[in-house]
Amino acid sequence: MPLDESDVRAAAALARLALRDEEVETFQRDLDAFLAHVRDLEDLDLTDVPPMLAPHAEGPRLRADEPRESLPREAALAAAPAHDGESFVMPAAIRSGTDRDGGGAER
Amino acid sequence: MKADALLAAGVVACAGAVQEGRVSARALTEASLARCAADAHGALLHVDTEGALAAADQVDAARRGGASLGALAGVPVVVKDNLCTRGVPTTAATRLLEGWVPPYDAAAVTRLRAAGAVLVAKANLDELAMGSSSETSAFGPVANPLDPSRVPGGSSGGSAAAVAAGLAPGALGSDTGGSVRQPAAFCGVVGLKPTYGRVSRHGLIAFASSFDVVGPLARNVRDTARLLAVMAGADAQDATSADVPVDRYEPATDAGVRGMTVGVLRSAFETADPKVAAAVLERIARLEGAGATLVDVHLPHAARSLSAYYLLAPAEASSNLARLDGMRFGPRASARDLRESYEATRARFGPEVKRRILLGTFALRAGYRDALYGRAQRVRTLVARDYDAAFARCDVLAGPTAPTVAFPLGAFSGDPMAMYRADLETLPASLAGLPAISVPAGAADDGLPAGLQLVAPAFQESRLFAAGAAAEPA
Repeated sequence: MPLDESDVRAAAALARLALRDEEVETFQRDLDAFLAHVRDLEDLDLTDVPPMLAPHAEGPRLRADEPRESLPREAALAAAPAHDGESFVMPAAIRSGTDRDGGGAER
Repeated sequence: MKADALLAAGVVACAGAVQEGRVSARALTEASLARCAADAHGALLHVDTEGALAAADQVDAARRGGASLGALAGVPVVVKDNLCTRGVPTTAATRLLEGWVPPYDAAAVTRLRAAGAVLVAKANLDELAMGSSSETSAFGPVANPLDPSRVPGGSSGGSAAAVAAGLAPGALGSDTGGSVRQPAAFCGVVGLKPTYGRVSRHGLIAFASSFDVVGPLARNVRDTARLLAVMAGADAQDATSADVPVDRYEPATDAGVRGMTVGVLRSAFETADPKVAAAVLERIARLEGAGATLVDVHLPHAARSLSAYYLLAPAEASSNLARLDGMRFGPRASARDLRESYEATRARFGPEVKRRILLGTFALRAGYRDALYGRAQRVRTLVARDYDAAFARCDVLAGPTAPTVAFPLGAFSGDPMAMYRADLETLPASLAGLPAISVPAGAADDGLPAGLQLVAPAFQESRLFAAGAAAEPA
């Protein structure tokens, strides 16, 4: 089933990407071509084939649960577009006076 | 030998000359910096003149003081700009990290510096390592030093071009789906993708975390062995780095191939450009001449790698790149609220990065996840099993690194699928997490080189060094 514009806009909203109208058109075409290509996986019998999450995985090694040195706060904050010396300062997640969801929930 | 000639002779030659006092680290570094300043191929994003000279002077002072020198003492190296470098700007060729100066070094960089290497410059790349041509960099494309109308390959195109143009004898790249091997092939240098987990990913700006590997590029196989030996090994800061003993890589380059069985990937030669196929087969014939036995090998699911990889890697990227949101580092677009700020900041990604974020987000969406992402993960298992079966019969596998020589700049603009197909030969080893090397295979077309790709079982890089050295030009 070919994608329509709303599929691209929905993915862009999930990914927090603002797209221009002409970008939506281009990406719709590109994603369609890609999804047509990946149909070559459909004829494989994958019954009883386990998924591979990462190569040679015995699972990540865990380090000892001990406190250790971390990046000093000043170094962590140094590159921030805005900070108050203690925390990162971000735009408001919820705007007053509107019904718009500014933050986490999906559209 | 003068500094310029040493740079051309390679990493091991430079280190030896510094060690023996035939040249100072400062003279080598100045020669490298002069070449970096004259770079006409867009290979570099930042030259660290001050830092490099200070590091070189430290090596020279250590030598004068009688201290023992590291394996890379005084050797100028270029580092791909998706590896964090303390105090040196690191952009990964994206506007979202423009002006960012990391507070720490990547683990691979720490190990190079500890061995005495002199970091001279940061190499250009496809934006966030997403591309096969180094054309998607937000700061302009890289041209191939062998023919500036052609691409250097990607995404480590700046690293490959830097080595090919002699700016430095060695470079670091990163390989997710072929990003060290393919540019090495296109620029006529050696490029190694180590086993997944062989080199720490700490400080490598993540693209697809179950694929990403840091790997060296250099002018000959022995040089890549020296660079890997310095970088390899477990690291407490990367839980996926492997706690597997590190071989003695450099002696392996003299081991030869007598008694080795080389699996020849016949089907890869059918899809490759005939001139590329002929050049690569000539190298494989050299291996036979040096005592290896050739057998034909087929990887039944390799052709599905393109679909599997371009579902899995963008899915991982769509998650990893969520951190590039303008909140903690990098520039932030002003907006009325948080959501608008995220969206406006991330609108500064280039088209290829947006395409892959959308692709990955789509592959992970409820309702599609099992059919797309889940299926691709199972195909990944099949590709790995294909290799297991092949390595039951042979020691290494051989084929072309890329189906063509370097293509003209702009050849695939507007046709991303055609560009993705350029990765066809490098993707299977990436899916299986196996080590692979690209060795120059001589002039194939218009005087441009082809690449011979050798693949080995996990953590058997030594076999690649033995076979690679036997196949490389004398």
